[in-house]
Amino acid sequence: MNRRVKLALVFVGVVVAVLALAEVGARVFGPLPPPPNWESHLLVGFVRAPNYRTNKVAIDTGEPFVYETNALGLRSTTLNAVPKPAGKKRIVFVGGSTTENGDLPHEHTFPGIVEAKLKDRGVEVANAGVPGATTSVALAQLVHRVLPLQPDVVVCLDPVVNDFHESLTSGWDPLLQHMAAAPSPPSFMDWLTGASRLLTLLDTRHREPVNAKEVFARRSREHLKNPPSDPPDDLLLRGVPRFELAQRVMLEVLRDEKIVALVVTEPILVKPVMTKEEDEKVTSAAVPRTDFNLRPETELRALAAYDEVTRRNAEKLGAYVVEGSVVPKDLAHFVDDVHLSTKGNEALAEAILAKVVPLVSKD
Amino acid sequence: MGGMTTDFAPPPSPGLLPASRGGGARTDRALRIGFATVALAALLLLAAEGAARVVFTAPPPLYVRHSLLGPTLAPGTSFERLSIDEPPVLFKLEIDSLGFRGRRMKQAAKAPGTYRIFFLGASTVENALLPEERTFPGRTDDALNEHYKGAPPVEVANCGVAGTGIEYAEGMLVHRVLPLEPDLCVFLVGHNAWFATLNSDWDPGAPSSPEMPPTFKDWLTGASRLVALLDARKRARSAREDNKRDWYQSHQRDRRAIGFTPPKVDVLRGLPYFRAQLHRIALLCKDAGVACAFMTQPNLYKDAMKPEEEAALVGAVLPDGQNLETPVLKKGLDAFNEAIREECSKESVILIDAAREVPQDLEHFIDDVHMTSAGNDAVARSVLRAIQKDGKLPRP
Repeated sequence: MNRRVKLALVFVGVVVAVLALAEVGARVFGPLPPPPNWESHLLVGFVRAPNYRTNKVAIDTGEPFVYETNALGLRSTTLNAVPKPAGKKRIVFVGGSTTENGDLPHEHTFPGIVEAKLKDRGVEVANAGVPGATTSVALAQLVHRVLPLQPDVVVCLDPVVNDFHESLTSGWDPLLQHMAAAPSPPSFMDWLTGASRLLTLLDTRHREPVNAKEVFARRSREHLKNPPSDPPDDLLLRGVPRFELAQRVMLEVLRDEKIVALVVTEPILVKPVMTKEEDEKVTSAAVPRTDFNLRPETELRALAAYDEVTRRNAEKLGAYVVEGSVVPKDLAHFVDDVHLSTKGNEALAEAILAKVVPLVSKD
Repeated sequence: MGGMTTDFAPPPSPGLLPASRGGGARTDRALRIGFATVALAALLLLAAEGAARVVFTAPPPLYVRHSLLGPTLAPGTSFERLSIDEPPVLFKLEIDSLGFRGRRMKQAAKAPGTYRIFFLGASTVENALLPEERTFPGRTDDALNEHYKGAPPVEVANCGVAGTGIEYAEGMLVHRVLPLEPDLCVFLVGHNAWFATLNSDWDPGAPSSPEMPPTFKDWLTGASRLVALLDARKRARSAREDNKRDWYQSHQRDRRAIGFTPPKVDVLRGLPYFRAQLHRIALLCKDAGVACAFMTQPNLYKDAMKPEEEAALVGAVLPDGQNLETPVLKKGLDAFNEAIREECSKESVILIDAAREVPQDLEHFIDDVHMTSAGNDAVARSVLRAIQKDGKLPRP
């Protein structure tokens, strides 16, 4: 046999043997694969994985911090198990990324600040916000993850910007919302990492946190480089009825379960006249998966319509309202045009505390 | 290559050459043939893949993923399959543009004056092994449309999804049914709600489903048009030709093959949770101004089972080693059905007491809870009687 062929065969054989040994070694001696940062939930889609822990950098101060979830996949230091201890009260926050505040230390977020303030009063607090959620997702969270915790108060900062953006994408159907196309097929790497423990341990694709600063910068570049482009009027508010339905059902469920509901209208940096620095931070104008690049007055008009629905629903169904406008519209309080800085979180927490303290103080 | 000879040298005597040289020549030849075969096969496969991509479009997906309810049969899907009835018949299982079984709901927006009924639950609602017109939602649809003759138009959707529980039905109601402006929602959710609680690791607070990693075949069918086409063809053939009675029979055999065990958990431990879920569904419908009906779960469990009926049961053979006897199964499901009756009287929900109206025999049941055409017919009559009595039928 040709020497080179022999060598090649031997080489392939050695590589296969080494890989097989490494795989066996990983299975026998290796650590269990670290938990992913997301977990699939049968009825909620994707939720934060329980006991997930990663190092991050605070988006406003640049200080390092540890992002972690508890055994329930929630950000909380007090509410760590489903059974509710006797004599305790519970407050759970639901919403999207503006509730989760995943790029701030828990104690700098408005749920974390409320938790710290009420800890000594025997109140357990958890943050169940999920980035990218729409109000329908928040409703699913409420029904399938939050109600089993028997909360006394649920605070909802509905992710209206996500609802609004989604309604502007082409092919969006309010009656078939969340009916996605066929799931994209798994890649070869997906299969391989599922089949091999060794590769699972080496694969960091699904464990690395998203760098929010980069995402925000990319979105604001999109906004700055493109000319303004607004959707036609019939498109602009077409998501409102679907939002109205999801939020109404959410508040009806809370009323039926005799849980106090507190809804927050959208805090937003956008204002009719923006400074150059503020405009450079705008991430919500360039609507993902569309060519729209909204003018401030257009975005404000749309979000005002959503906020009006929130107020109407709250009034009809006996929910408390906290106005997002309590957060001053400047760059000290916002990190982009919708996500709050530590100072913004403090301002919102103060307004929420003013409403919930009397509620949880009652016997 | 080693082992080659020249014209000038005398042919080597086999006895003088080391055995390995002759073996080497053979190995060499075998390797060459091997490489050539692999290369040819790869070329042929590449050519076939290229041709498949040029000539055929990708087969439509059987399932789409609803981001809040998981995989669901793709809207517009249709395939032939063999029915479970004796004798089996070939029928076309069709999913409408909204992702449900049913023949009349063609679009999401409801036409003025139309009366919409949705049936929610699991496999005993879906009846995926029966033609639409033999299922109880289909029969209800036919009966109402025959009666009202389009004034008003009645549209019926079968939203059953096999293997799902009461939480799923609640999610289906909230995310997919309420936006379609239902007039009446009928729930048949007793069996799976109870069955789930029998597992030792049942946790009502965490119905999570860790995603299974993709298999090699998953990747291959996604990456290759040729494999996807072959797979779709195989699936279609299997649906057309496989008699699902075999599946039931293998589970019936499993139950008999292993000894019965006492339950490891209280078989009624899920009742408070079930009542709370029913209550919430009733209130969700009430809040939305939608008439709500709960159906008790028809089943074959009775005190005096005939041997052939006992043999037809699939029972509860659970992953934790439990195999429950029929009286235990009866006790559990009876209690869940009783909870349904109580909730109906408390919340003025329409009660469809199908458990008392469907005869408990093998003419009406395939196994414990899955019904034949005759069973479905009996349920449809029960549905019509209940909604007629309650005055919730559409007014012409």
